[in-house]
Amino acid sequence: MRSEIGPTVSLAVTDRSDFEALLRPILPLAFRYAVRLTKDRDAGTDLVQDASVIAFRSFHMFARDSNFKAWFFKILLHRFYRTKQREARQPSVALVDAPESYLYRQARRLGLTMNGDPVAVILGQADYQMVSDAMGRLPLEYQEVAVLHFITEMSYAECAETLEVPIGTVRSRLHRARRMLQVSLWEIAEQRGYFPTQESI
Amino acid sequence: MNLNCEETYQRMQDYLDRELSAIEMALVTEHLIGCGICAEEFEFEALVLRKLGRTLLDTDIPKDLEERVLTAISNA
Repeated sequence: MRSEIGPTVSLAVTDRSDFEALLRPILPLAFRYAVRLTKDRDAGTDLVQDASVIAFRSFHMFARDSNFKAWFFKILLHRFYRTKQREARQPSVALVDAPESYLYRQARRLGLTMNGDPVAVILGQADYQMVSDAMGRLPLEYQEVAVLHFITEMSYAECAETLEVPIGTVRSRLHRARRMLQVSLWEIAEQRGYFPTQESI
Repeated sequence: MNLNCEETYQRMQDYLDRELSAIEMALVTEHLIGCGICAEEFEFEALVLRKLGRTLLDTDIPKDLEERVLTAISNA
């Protein structure tokens, strides 16, 4: 689907080559991030396409010695929020202040042996949908940073540049997002009957 | 300077993300070498994060994604 995103400007062929060379390697990451944001593959594809066109038209403003990935993801996020208002009603959230390494503590509580792969016992059936559902329970600002960090493996500084927030905010949101995510995963596992009972261990 | 378990625990996420200074990374590593309890917890957390990251990356990329994007750019 082609979308209307503004007037056409012309850029030199060399600019296009440079742009494409920078863009190609991050397209898979951009797609995965866009799908997480939009929760839809087609919408994710459209978002990446639109962001790419906008970035290309703005490429003359990109400082060549700066971080293209952070610059592009910033554009992608802006495009996402421009087309989709932040949902007024935030998803239900386990905004409890769970401890760090919540799943580890649950594993210990269940008496799981740490030999072998205890994570597989707890998260063995955690597929994309389950992780996605757990992520979806987090407030959007926590999802943004958690998914960005998980998918792109950006540093805190790069995430801060992309999201236009201080590094300290990235750090605190990311850490809290991970705690909430682990609580959500545990709850979903319980709801789906994946809960590793004492008898099944 | 040595870190105790609590001080090490407080640095877990930053350590796993390699966001500590070189000195602090070394201090945490030193503690983990000598403390099996903390080492076990760090290893578990690292496995959880790796599992979550791999799962979120488990999305098929459309075969025509690059072609669509490049075509859109050339038409821009």
